[in-house]
Amino acid sequence: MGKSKSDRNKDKFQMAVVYLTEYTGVRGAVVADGEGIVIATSGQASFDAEKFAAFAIAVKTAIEGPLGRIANPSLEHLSIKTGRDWITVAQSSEAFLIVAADRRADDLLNVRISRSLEMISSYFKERYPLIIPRERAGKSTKKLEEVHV
Amino acid sequence: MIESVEIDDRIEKCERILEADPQSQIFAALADAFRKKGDVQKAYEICMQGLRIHPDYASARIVMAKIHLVKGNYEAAWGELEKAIANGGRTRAIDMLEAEILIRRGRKHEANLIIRNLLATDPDDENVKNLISLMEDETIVGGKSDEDMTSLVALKPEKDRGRDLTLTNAINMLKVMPRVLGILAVGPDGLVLDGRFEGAIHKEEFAALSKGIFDAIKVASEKLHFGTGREVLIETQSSKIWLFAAHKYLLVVHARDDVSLGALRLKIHDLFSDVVI
Repeated sequence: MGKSKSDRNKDKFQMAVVYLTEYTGVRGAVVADGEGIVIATSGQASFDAEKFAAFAIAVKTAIEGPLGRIANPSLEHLSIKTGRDWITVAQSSEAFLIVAADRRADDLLNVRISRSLEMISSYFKERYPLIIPRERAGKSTKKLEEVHV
Repeated sequence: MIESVEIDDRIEKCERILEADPQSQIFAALADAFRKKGDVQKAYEICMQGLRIHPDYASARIVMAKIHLVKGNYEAAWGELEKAIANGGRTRAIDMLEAEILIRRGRKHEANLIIRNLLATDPDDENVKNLISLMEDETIVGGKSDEDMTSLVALKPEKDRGRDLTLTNAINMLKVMPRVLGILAVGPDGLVLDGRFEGAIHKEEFAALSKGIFDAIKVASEKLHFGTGREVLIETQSSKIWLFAAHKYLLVVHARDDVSLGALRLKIHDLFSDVVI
């Protein structure tokens, strides 16, 4: 008996977060939708995915106004370091990737975060091409007319 | 003599183009040729007239800054330089012109910081060597020694640099890093304590909004018991904004999106770890 479609979809997001939590110093990772609903999560037993997803939405909402006045309003990557933690909120297609790590974790974690984002993004593009705005879908996106010429 | 003939030839060509098209941006080259020839007043008139049509033309602003420099109008030269940076960004030529204006205005310490960075990227640059000579000449003519200059021209080892850094010096040194658009030290009230900034937005507004962003993140972090935010890096499609909570101020670093974050982090640590205000 094969896996259902929704299970297979979940597995792809799950792969992205597990790939991150394999890295030394990572406490947990979450993929959440634009409203903070957890899609996939991986991490230590004490890692509260709901809390981090809510944090990502709260921060994005709080800063997008002032950010729009001083820079491009479309937040791509936010990295916060506290005395103990290093929290990354990255936006990919219609989802958020939130990673909680030890503050002292290696900077190369950013490479893994980028790869995970690519996994999430490519899955979104493949599965939901119509809901991704053109500018976010990448510079190589062509209009239909261009494709047919 | 040959140079003079070349300049006359250039003037003739530029005048011909400008006559055919009075809207052409060639006026900047024409004005610069007159400046080089020594006819500063003519250069000024041509450049001023052209800037009325093309006020955002950065190259013309640079020419105008050079004209003011020759005329001894250092404040006006500085104003033109700022407009050039705002319209066309920072280049090595602009850094050199800025250093020269600073020397002429007697701000040799700041000039030296820029020269150090120019030397670091190209130690054999004759133009930079000329700036050092100019600084030495100015010191002798001025009749008084500039302590900062003496200590800095000696090019002290990097490791010793932080110990005598003021906030202003640290900001100036960080500002000359490639792709850094602005640095601000922002007080607890959101007001600018010090900074160097370029761009369309006013530094006061940038400072207040950056402080607002940092505080919003801090509140959200504390609410969910993530601890107090010390450092925030925001990356957008066009730029990066890095916020560091220091003891008495928030350090705001605005950079282009292609800045090297690793090099920037090292430099910030190197410059600001010993700064006391």
